[in-house]
Amino acid sequence: MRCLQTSLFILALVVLLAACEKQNLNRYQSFAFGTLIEIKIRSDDKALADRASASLFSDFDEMHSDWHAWEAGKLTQTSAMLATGEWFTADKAVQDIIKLSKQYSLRSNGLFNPAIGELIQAWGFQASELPRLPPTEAKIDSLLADLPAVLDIDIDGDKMRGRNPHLKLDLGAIAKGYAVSAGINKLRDQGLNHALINAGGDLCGIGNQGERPWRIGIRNPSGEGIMASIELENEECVFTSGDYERYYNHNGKRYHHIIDPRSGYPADKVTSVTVLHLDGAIADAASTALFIAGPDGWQEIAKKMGVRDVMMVDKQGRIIMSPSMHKRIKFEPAVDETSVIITDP
Amino acid sequence: MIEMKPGDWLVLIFSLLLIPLSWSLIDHPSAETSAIEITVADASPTTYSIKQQTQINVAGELGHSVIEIRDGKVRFTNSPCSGKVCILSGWHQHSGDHIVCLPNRVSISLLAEQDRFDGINF
Repeated sequence: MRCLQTSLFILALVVLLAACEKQNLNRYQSFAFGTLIEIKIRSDDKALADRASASLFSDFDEMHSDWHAWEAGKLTQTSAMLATGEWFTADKAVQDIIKLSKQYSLRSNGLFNPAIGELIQAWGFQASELPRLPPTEAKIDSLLADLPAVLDIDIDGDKMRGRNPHLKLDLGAIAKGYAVSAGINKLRDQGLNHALINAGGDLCGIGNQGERPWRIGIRNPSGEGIMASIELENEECVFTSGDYERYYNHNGKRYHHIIDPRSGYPADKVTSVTVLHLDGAIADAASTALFIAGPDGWQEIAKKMGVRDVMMVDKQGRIIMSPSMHKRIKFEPAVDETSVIITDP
Repeated sequence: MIEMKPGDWLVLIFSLLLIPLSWSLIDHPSAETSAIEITVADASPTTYSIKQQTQINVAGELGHSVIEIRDGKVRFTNSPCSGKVCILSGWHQHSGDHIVCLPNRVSISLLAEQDRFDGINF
C-alpha cells in the first residue's frame, strides 16, 4: 500500500513539473528613435503585452521627435532659447533629461558633454546621411575657442538660461538609455515583469527569459561575430559605444561619431566600451565618457559616475576590464583570454 | 533512519529511470539559427530559411536592398543608402542578432527555435 502511495506521489510530481511551462514570449519590433527597436515581453496576457509594446513604440516616437538634435522640435527650440542668454520656461519634455545631463557631465569631468551640437554638426554627424569630408583644422579651432558645456545652463525650477551663445544640445549619448529605462519602468508598472528592450544594440532587461536570465551576446568590435556574452540580472542594462557605429573614411583614416570635447576630434584611444548598469541613462552616458577617457583615464570617471562593470577594447585589440565585469562576462572560445587585462576601477 | 523495503527500492529505481525517459520526451528546441525575418518599415515580416543559398531583392523606402543567404549566414550585399553601414557590418549568423539599413528601413532578424542570445549588444 505504501508502495502504491509513493508511486502515486512521484507520478503526481512528474505531472506537476511537466505543467510548469514557461510563459509565452511575445516579440515586437518597429523603427523608432532612429533605429530598430525590439521588445520582448514574457507574459501569457498577450493582449496586455500588445498594448504595452504599442504604447512604448509611441512613447519612443514622441521622445525621438522631442529630443531630435537637428530636426525642428522641442530640443531645437530649447537650444535656440539657450543661445539667447535669456531666462525662459523650458518645455517639460526636455527639463528632466537636461537636469540629468548636467549631473552626468559634472561626474564625467565634462567628457559627456551634450552641449557640443555645433562641433558634432561640423563633423557632419547631425544628418541622416554620413558625411564625406572632415571639417578643417581652422573650423575645429574656432569651435574649441568658446566650446560650451551643459554646465553653462542655469536652471531655476522650470526656468533655464544659457551662458554661452554656442550652446546647441545633442542628446545622442543619453537619450536612448533614458528612453529604454523609462520603457522598462512603464512595463513593470503594468505588471509585466519579464521583458527585454533592444534599441539598436543597446539593451535593458527586467526579470528573465523563463528558463534562464536574459542572455546578451556582445559583438566583436573588430569584425564579425560575437566576442562574449553576459546574463542580465533582474533589472540591468548593457550599453556599448564603438567607433564602428557611425563613421566614414577619408584618405585612409576613419572618422567616427564620438567626439572628444577636449580635442575637437573623434576620440581615438579605444574601439569600444561596454558598460553594465541598472540605469540605462547612466550606462549610455558612461559608455561615451569612458570611450573618450580611454585606457588611462577611465577609472576615475567610472568611479565618479558610479559605474563598476566596464569592458574596453583598445586599438591593439586588448581587452581591459574591471574585476566585477570579468566575473560576469563569458568569452567565446575564439577570444584569447590571456590578452585580457583586469584592472580596478 | 527509515528502513527501505524491497518495494521502496523498486519505486526508487523506477523513478530514477523516469528522469532520462522524460528528458528524451521533452521537445528540445535548437539554438542554431534556422530562419531570418526581413521587415520593411512597419510591414509584417517575411520569413526565410537560413539553410539555403539565395539572394533576395527587397524594395525599401529608398530603393532595392539585396540580401544574401549562404552557409547559414546572412548579409546585405547591396543597398541604396549612402553610408553602406549595413553592408560593412558583414556576415551575421547568431540568433537574436539584427542587421538594419535605417535609411532604407529594411531590417533582418536572425531567429532560432530557441535563441542562443536574446539580443546582441554593439
